[in-house]
Amino acid sequence: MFNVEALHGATSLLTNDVAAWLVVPPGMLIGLIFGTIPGLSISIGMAIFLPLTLHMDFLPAILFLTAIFTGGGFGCAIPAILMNIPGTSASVATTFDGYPMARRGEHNSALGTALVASVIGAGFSYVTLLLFIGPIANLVLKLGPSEMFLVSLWGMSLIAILQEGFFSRGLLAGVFGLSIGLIGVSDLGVFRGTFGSVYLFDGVPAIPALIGMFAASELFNLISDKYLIIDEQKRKMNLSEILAGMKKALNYPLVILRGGAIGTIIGAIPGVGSSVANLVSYASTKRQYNKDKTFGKGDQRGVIASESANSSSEGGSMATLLALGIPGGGGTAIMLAAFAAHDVTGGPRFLSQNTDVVYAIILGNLVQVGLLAIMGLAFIFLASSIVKVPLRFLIPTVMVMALLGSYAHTGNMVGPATVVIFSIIGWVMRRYNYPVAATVIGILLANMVEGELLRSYQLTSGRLFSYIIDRPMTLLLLVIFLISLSVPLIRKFYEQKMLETKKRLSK
Amino acid sequence: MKENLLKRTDFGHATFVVFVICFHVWFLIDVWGVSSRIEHLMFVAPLAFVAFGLGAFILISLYKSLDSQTSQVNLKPIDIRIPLIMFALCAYLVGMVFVGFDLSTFLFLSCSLWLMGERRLWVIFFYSFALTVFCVFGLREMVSLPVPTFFFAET
Repeated sequence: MFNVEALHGATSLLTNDVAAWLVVPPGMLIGLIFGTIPGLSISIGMAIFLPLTLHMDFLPAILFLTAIFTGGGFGCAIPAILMNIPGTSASVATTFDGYPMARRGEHNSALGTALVASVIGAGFSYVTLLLFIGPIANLVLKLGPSEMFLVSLWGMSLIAILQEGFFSRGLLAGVFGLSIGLIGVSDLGVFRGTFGSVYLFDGVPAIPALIGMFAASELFNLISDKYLIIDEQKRKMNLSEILAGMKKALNYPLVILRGGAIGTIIGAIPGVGSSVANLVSYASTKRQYNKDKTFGKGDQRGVIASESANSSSEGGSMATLLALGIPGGGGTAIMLAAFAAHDVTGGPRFLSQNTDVVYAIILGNLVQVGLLAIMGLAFIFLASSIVKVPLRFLIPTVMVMALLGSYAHTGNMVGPATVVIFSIIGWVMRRYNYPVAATVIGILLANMVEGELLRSYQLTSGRLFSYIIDRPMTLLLLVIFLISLSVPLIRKFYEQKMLETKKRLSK
Repeated sequence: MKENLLKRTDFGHATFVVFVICFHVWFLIDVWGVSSRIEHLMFVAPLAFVAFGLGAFILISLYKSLDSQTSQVNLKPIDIRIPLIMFALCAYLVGMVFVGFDLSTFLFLSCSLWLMGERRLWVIFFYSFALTVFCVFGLREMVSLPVPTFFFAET
C-alpha cells in the first residue's frame, strides 16, 4: 500500500531539483489572482499558463500547475466571502455564511477561518492520498451509475435545508434549477428547450448562471448602500482579526476533518468533485450544529465546512488523475494535457512504475499547502481592502468583470447573456425569499442526476430495485444517505417531545 | 374591499410563480414533442408535476394571505436605480454585440457610475476609460477569442 523506497526517491527528486520549487510561488500567486477575479476561473488560469510548462521538466511543470490549482482553490473563497460571488461552483456553500459574516464587519475573521480550513483540508487530503492512493482509485473504479446517482442526490439534499422558513419556495427554486439545468442536448441525444439555437445545445452555462444569480442579483440589492460594510470602524484591514479568525477555526477540528474526509472521497469521483463536496459538507455540518439557527446568518462553522471540503476535493481529484488517468474536472483535465505534453500517461501503470514521481507530486503539493498558509495570509490582507471601495465604483466594476469573465469562460455571447438574464431572475427570487442557491445547485447537478438515473435504468432494464439489492456499495451509500437525512429529523422530534414534556410538567 | 385586496395582492410574486409554472409546462411539452419514451421523460415529467403542484400551493397561499394582510408587509420599496441599472446592463449586453466591447464597456461604466451617485465628470471619464482599457484589452491579450472592439481593429 505504502512504498517507503519510493518515498525516499520522491524526497531526493524534490530536493535535487531547485527549479521545481522556483515555479511554485508564482504559480500560487496566479491561482490566487484568477480565483479571486469574478468570472475568471482556475481552469482559465491553468489553460493560459499551460504553454509555459512546455519549457519545463515534468515535475516542475506539474508543480507549477498544481500551485495554480491550490492557490485558485482558496482564491475562490475571497470573492465568495467579500462579495457573495462564488468564483466556482466549489465555493457556493462558502457564501452562505461567509458573506453574512463580511456584511457584519467580520470579513477579516471569515477570511482567516477560510484560509485555515482550506490549508488543513487540503493537507488532510494529500496525506490521505499519500497513504491510500491505490485503494482510493480502486474504490472510484467500483462506483457505478447507481452510486453516482446517490452521491449527486446527496448534494441535492441541501436544497431541502436551505430555506427553513419557506420550505415550498426552497423546493420550487431547486426544481426550477433542475429543469433549467436539463436544457440542451440530453444524454440520449435529444434537443430540449433549445429553441433550435446552437448556442443552447450545450445547455445553460453553469458558471455564468451562478455569477448572475449570486453576484449580480446581490449587487442590485446593494445599490442603496454606500459600502459593503456600513460601519466605518469595521471596514479596516486587520491582521490580528485575520489571525484570530484562523485561531478560532482551530476550535472546530471535527468540522475541518469531516469536511476534509467528505471532500477527499467525493472529490475523487470524476465529474462530481468539489461542486458537490462543499454542499454535502455544509449540509451535514448544518444538520449537526444548527441548534441556535445561526447557519446562513454568518456562522463560522459553515465557512469551515465548505472550505475544508472544497480544498480537500483537490487531493481527491488528483487521486483519480494520477492513479487512473481520469480528470475529474477542468483543472485536472489541463494537468492531463501537461502530462501528455511531457509524454506521460497517468494511470495504473504510471502509478506502479513511477511511484516515486507520484509521491513527489503529492509531497510537493503538501509543501504547497504550507506555502498557501503564508501567501494566502498576505493575499487576503490585501484583498480585504475591497470593503473600503465605495459601492458606486465596486458595483459597475464587478458587473463588467463578470460579463467579460463569462465571455472568456464560454467563448461566446451566451456567457454574458446568461449572467444578465440570471441576475434579473436572481433579484426577483431574492425579493420573494426564494433561495437562489437551491436553483444554482439544481443547474449544477441536473444533468448528472438525470444521466446517472438513466444509466441505472438502462443497465437494469427497468429493474432498479433488484439491481440495488445486488450492489453492496449502493446499499451502503443508500444507508449513509438515509441516516444523514433522518438522524437530524429524529433528533428534532425527540427535542420537541422533551420540550412538550417539560412544559407539561411545569404546568 | 375589492380595492384593498388589489392593493395588497403580491402581483410580482404571483407573476414569478406563474412564470415558473409556465416554464415547466412548456419544457415538458417541448420534451414530449421530441419523444414520449420513458427514458426521455423519467426525470423531466416528475419535475414538471412537482413544480406545478408547488406553484399551485404557493399561489393558493398567496391568495389566502390576502386576508391576513401579511403578503406585502416585508417587501422593501424598489430603489428606482435598480431597474435603471438592469436596463443599462441589458443595453451593455446588446452593445457588446453591435458596438464593440470597448465602447459599450466605457458607456456602461459611465452611465452606472453616474446612476450610482458619482457626479465628478472627470472621475467618471478617467475611471471608465482606465477600467475599459484594463479589462477589454487585458481580455484580448489573455484569451485566444475574438474580442470585437469599436476603436481598435483586431490584432
